[in-house]
Amino acid sequence: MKAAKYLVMVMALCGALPCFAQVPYERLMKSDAEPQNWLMYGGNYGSQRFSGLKEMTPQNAKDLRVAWAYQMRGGGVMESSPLIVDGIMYVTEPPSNVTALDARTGKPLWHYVPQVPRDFVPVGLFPTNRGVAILGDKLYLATIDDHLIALDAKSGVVRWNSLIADKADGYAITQAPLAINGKIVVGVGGGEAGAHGFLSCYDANDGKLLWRYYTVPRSASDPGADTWADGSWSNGGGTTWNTGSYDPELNLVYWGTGNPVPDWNGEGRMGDNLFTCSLIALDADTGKLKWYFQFSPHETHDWDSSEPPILFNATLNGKPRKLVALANRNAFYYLLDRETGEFITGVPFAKQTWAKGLDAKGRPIKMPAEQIEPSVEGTLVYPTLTGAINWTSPCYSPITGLFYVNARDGGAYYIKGERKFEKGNSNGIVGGGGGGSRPGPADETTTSIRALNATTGEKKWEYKMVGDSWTGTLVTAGGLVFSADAAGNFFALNAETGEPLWHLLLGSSVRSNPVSYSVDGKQYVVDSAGNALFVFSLP
Amino acid sequence: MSKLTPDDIATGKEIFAAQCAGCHGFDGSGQLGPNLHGVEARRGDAGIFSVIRNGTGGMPPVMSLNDQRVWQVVGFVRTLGDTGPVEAAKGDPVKGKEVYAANGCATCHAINGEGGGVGPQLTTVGRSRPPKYFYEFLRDPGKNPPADTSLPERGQSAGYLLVRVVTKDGHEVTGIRVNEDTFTIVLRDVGGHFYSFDKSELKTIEPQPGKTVMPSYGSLSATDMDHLVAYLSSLKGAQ
Repeated sequence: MKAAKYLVMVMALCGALPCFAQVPYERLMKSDAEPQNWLMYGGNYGSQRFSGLKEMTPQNAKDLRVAWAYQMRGGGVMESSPLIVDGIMYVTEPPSNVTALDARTGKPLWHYVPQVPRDFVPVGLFPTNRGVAILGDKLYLATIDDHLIALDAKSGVVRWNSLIADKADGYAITQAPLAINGKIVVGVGGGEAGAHGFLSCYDANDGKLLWRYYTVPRSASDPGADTWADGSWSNGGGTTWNTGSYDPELNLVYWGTGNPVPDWNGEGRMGDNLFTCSLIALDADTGKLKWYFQFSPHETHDWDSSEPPILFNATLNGKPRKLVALANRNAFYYLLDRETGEFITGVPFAKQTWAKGLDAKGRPIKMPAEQIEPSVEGTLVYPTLTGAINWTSPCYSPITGLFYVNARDGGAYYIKGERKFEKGNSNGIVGGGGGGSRPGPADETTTSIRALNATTGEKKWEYKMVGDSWTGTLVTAGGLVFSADAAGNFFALNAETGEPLWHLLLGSSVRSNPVSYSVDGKQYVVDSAGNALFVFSLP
Repeated sequence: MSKLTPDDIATGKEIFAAQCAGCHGFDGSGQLGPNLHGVEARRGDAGIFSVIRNGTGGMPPVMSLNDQRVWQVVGFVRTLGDTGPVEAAKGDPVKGKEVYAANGCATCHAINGEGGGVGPQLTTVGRSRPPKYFYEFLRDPGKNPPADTSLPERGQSAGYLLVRVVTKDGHEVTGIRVNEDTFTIVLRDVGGHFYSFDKSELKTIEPQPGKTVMPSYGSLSATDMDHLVAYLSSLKGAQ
């Protein structure tokens, strides 16, 4: 009965079209108008991960239960953030597979498995995938071995396949691409392998490369080359390994960049090492740099600045402003003007011992080198190598004005190795990049959900967890924040107060970002734990 | 294994310091992970390579090194068996076994299937701990408790942590923490009984680092201590 109703509903929505709804750019631009769907990795172009759904509330959250689960077909770590489009869920599985599911029941509709060479071992990252993009009638998948593949969203049939980079040069991709007006923007990972970072833009119709912006100079005359001593820009780095954001009005793409190379020994690359550990704003039509802001000049702890930039508007000192906020792996929360890149404020959101603070322009005032630089015996510095936040997404609610982040408090002993460096040669690398780290004291590293005033970074509340959680956050119009602790307790908090309302142990750690959608007017929340995808609803 | 040069071994040492020492100790004598001295005799070169590449037990596969680099690490690990800092135990392991029995160690520890399960199994403890560790640990067992590797996903949790809890209705339990998350905690007492609590039922949760259910054996005579350490050092399981 229910299934019959569902099919009728889909046909009614589609009208005379084939039984599949197209997702033109206009729908993506106005994604907030259709909260039943989750149309892109970050939920909307501002990467706010805010769901406009209101069925689940602080009053009824105690009644949440599992609606269905999907067991992944292979092994590996599931980090996918699914899309939900008109009743169909598109989820990715390691290393780069795509599965379409009936979002109401969890029944598979089709499965796509790209040909990934079995002997390919990416450097410095797990071979997994964090999601796809949709535009028109196609899905866009970036594979671990650096292909951008367009799939027919109805069937999983390959429409085109473009090679983004050569994996032999250290490149590997785990991110979801970003679909904008007729274009697909996608970055690359592989900083520990010395991959030379760039951001690319492809024609969504045929996979033709439209532009490519290199984040690290490729010649002595390139901008920023003077910030790398002795031509060390040739080492590479500054990869673009996490999905960015987009402002349709300004037509700017915002993307974070990763570490310089080698990571933990900066002696051979003195200088600020532009444009690593930065936020870059590029013209979406040309790929030209509009502005940049470097969070961590001359970084030596692998604190990439690849965290999702969250776009929102607010009134500051009586003046309406277009803003971008980023909770950085280096433990500072930054607020910038997204038209100009001007620094507005920056404060720590997790324990850090590397900087006295930020100056008026947002540049860190570092502690003395002997206290923070990696050493042969190990230097204890906070945050950990994995950072105060890593790839998982914070979220922002336009209702509460709060920025919710899963923050890690902990330190590591940073070790400097020899400054040997070896480029490419099919996953070749020395010691992960001139050093590494070993853990700080046992039981010390913890994670907390922190709600920050988005315009000041001031903490409004926090919810402390046990252990080292790797879960993103979701906030809903119904007034809930969802995330999970390290053991795999998926939970709901009151978005205004942080009060815990409900939890369920999923039996393995939750290493992904939760999302919400609805089918037939019923709200669902989805996240993965271990090898399975769990979907929750009210009875 | 392809022929490795001294430069390769030096590179292997550098990689080991950066990527392996966190668990195995910079001298390879064991910390969270096992003592690697003599590991070549137990596993062979290909076996060591396989463990690094594929992982085993609580050790994850090492993804960030190509085959050549893994071989360089294997080459360095081989040298640990030749020149490592493990001093020979001074005592007599046969007499040490008597000291072990006379002091009731088997109440809590199992060797080759015989003994209790509250403390760590000791069947292969001689592989993973140098004599100096046993001397220090037997005198002050709360100072540097071993990691509990029975649940690898606990990661960085302190092993054998003693925790005292008091329920809201006044019941008190002190035991070894078996598992803890944001909402629950499970303790085990010296009798091996498990106690499972929702934290919402507890008014006190008091970790007691430095304390342990294992008594100090600092009062043993120096000779008995040497024998006991020699016995523990001899426990290397099936070769």
